[in-house]
Amino acid sequence: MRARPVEERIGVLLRTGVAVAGAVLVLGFAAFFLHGSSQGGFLQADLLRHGTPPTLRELAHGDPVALLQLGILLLILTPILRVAATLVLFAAERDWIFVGITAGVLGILLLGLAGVGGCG
Amino acid sequence: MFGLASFLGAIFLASAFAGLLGSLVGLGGGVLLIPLLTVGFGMDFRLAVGTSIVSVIATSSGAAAAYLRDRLTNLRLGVLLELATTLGAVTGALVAPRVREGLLFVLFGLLLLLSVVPTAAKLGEEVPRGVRNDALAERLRLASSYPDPATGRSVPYQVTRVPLGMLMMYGAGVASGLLGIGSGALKVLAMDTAMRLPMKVSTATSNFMIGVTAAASAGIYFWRGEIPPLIAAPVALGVVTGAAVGARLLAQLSNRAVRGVFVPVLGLVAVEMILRGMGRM
Repeated sequence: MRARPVEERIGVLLRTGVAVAGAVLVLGFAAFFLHGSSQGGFLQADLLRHGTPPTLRELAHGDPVALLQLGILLLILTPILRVAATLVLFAAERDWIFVGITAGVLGILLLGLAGVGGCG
Repeated sequence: MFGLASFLGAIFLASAFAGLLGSLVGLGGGVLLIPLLTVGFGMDFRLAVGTSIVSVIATSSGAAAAYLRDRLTNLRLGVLLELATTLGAVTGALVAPRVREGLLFVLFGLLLLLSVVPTAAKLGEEVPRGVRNDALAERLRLASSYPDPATGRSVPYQVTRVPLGMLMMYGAGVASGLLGIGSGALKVLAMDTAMRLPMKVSTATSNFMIGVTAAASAGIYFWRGEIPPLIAAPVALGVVTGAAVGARLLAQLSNRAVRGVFVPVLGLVAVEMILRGMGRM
């Protein structure tokens, strides 16, 4: 029974992350259809054949497509934050084996987030 | 502009339908999204994977939160197995550009067939008997218990063959990173057959890991430019909306009737993907 609040807090973290990311995505769409994007016209065929490389730089200028990318990035970050929270949890319990295991998971996730080998 | 708006609207609606169907049949969104995007909308397979993996994170996070609240998730076991699934997911994402599209179609079709089998034939025991902790489970204190809603009592269980389970989890991770799915079916299969966990715990712990597994490969797809934002956003919003509606409907519908209708359809989709892949190899 002792573990309950912890599990609920992790659940809240997950829900909040998805909700915030979802809100950013909706906002990005609203902006896209109100103002269009500085990244030029989009042909339907283009959208399906070519990926758009991330352009987070344009976020500073409030570009709608960059806003959509921010939303996607927030979604990706949500489970990663969850793992970080679990790490803190195990550290508080002084369960060093599991601190190590969770740190390993976090390390792999950060490698993925850094896009290891992804530019090839 | 208007043409683009209705096109994206169609993508949103189709994704909402995939999310609805997925939650009714008990499969993740990815398994239905990939055929929808590749066969339905003619999208490149790898962009479909990048698009789908984002939705997998979105849908699984909500489900994971619900299972955590019901205290069905084995947190320690989940974190340990995530070591294997994330490593597999990174492997899958890195290998993906070197795999021919035809082979991806075939692999996906085979996996879809494999996912439909346990849905059709409800495998696994509610609480397996005579399971003893193996050395690793003992050392890492993986045994746990979960509350039985019917009796209100707590049901204890042990965990066996952890190394084999981890190996299978690595495979599930590779499938997730390569094909853009949550591979929940493979994860449940590993926990059910290798580690002999109670069905409810397998399902909950699998869901707990799906988002993290997907996040491991999503970053790689993101920086490769294989997550088209204008497509991925309506797909993610659509799938989450559809899944939420599905979860409400599920309370009113007979689970068996839903499965009886859609499992054959999914089987046909799987065959279609395999044939299409063989045509491209």
